[in-house]
Amino acid sequence: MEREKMILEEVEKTLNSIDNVTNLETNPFLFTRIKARIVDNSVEQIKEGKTGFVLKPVALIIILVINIVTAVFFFKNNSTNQAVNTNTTLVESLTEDYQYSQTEYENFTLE
Amino acid sequence: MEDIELIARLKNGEDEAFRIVVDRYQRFILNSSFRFVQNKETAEDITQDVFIEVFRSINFFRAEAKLSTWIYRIAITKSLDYMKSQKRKKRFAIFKSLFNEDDKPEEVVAPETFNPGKQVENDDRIKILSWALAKLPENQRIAFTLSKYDEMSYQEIAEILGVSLSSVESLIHRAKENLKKKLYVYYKKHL
Repeated sequence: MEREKMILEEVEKTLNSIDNVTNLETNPFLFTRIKARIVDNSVEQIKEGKTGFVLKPVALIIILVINIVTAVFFFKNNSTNQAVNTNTTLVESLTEDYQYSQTEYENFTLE
Repeated sequence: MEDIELIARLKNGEDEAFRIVVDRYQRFILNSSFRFVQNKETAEDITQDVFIEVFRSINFFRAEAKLSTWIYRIAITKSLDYMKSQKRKKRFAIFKSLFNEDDKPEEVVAPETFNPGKQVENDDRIKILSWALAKLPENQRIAFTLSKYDEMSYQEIAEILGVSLSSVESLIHRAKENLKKKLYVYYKKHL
């Protein structure tokens, strides 16, 4: 019982210790430091901006060139394949539709 | 200088106006951040970050709230962001410590022994209270800290937290109850 009372007293005292908290003293050079950091950050941003200004168009051109080259190769290959395949596909479908024999199929393809 | 004039001069980029803002609010921001992060150097860094943010974002300030409320809100957000990043680091450190015995995570600890009647009693109590505060849910901790340490009115706290007056009352009440419970457990173990 006595111990319980003591614990509760300590809890109360600790909660009240907020009144004894001392405040930290501010740094007299705080303003100067903040200004210095703002200037440093601005310089960095300008630098980043400059490199970005050069790098962004270069990256864009590279991506554009890659796209064009890929597109050219793709369409070129596709049209050749289509030309080669058209004849064979027609013969194959005719053979299948009219149920031609192997010899007749070969005759068609030979012609 | 009134807030309206100060804001206008800040938006014009006047150095003197910025100096006034720093002088007016640095003490509060430093101490408020310190209560959250429990480290003087970190609190000073956060104070600098807060004013840099004020300098950069003043043009977005629409004067819907008071300048002080806006600045306090930035300060609390920065302190909480720092604490969250520390928690992430701690989690990572725990993961690392599974593989490396030397990397033990640090945390706010209450004194192992408590000696009433000694010179260090008050310092000990403050440490114990900080430890218990750190264990409270975030909203309760902020509301309690702003009310009891920074002596802000419930109205100001409501504006900073963006909640109603009754919510602030409830948060502070629950914070007190939870603190009592945690302190009770602590003293039961250490007395």
